[in-house]
Amino acid sequence: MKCNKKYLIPDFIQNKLSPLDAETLKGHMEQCKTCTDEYKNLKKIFNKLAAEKHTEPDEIYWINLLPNIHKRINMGNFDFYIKYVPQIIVSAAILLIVSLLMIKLYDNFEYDQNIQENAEIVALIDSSYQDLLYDYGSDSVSDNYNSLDKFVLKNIILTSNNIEELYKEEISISELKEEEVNELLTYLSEEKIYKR
Amino acid sequence: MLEKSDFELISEFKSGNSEAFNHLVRKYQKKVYWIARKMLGNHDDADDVVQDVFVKVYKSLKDFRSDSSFYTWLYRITVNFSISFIRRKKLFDLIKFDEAFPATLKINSDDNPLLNLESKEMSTLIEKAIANLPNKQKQVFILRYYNELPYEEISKILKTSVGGLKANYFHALKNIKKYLDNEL
Repeated sequence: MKCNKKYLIPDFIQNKLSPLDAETLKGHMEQCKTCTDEYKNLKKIFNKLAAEKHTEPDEIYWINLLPNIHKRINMGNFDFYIKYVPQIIVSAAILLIVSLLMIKLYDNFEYDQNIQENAEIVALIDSSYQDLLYDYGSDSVSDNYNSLDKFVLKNIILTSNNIEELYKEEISISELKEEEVNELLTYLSEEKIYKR
Repeated sequence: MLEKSDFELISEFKSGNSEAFNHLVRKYQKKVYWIARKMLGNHDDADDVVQDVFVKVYKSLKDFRSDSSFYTWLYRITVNFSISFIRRKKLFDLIKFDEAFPATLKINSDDNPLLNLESKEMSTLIEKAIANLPNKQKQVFILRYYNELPYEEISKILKTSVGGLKANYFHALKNIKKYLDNEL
């Protein structure tokens, strides 16, 4: 049963109730089992609290306190910087590293997603790459970098139905210039379909 | 010599007598210390907060209006600074990873060796039990039990109704008992 009189019990035990309130509560407790039980419980806890020993700081602490306060007043905010700035810097660095890792993870995830969505084009790029290696008889991609780009691009344009989505202009293959090749490949790269 | 009232000391400080501030510090340093000490659970953190509190007082005293009593204002600053300190400490403890327990649960390192073991253990447990209380209960308990302030004063400091404070004090005691029963 709930009884709001129980909130008076701590003050009753600590003799902080007025004599009238104390008498009233005493009379109430004779009839209210909840409050009587609370009284017994709280009495125990006050006995335990009374056993608590306080470890006073040394007298030297009180002597030094005022000069320390004045030292801190004179230091202004400098003390704050000494205390917390290194911790703030470390926290910020950790946060930055975690953010970069998350961005990198997301980037890879997005790239994998796009590769899946554009599996046909990626397969074409791969096969074009193999053909080119075969044609040139070389396994060095960098040697034939522009040729490779151009070759891959031409194959994409010839084969893919999605070219308009990839590149918003009509391109004549024969007139394809190196800048345009680069532009399209940059686009593919930015769209995370093809890694240059 | 008759001790000057807070009002007189504050007036003197406002008139440029910085010695008046020193009087206020000496008058209240122990009370402020014990509020912080009980809220934070160890001497070092309490010392840090006590110094911050009086620095704040020094900087703000010229703007202090006597709407409320000086010590109500001072205790409110102490309680608020202690809570901020606990929050900041918890955050940094999370980042440091090297402390299994929050700072508020730190055991005193400056205990008097003359105290017997049983009494030391009980004191430590009570300190932990208080540290574990919800903030509001902790504040009410410390101001009421250790500082023996009337509910009306605590009500001004914490801006809570007297009825609410009585309930908080009661539940704080019950929670301390529950903690000690589990640990003993």
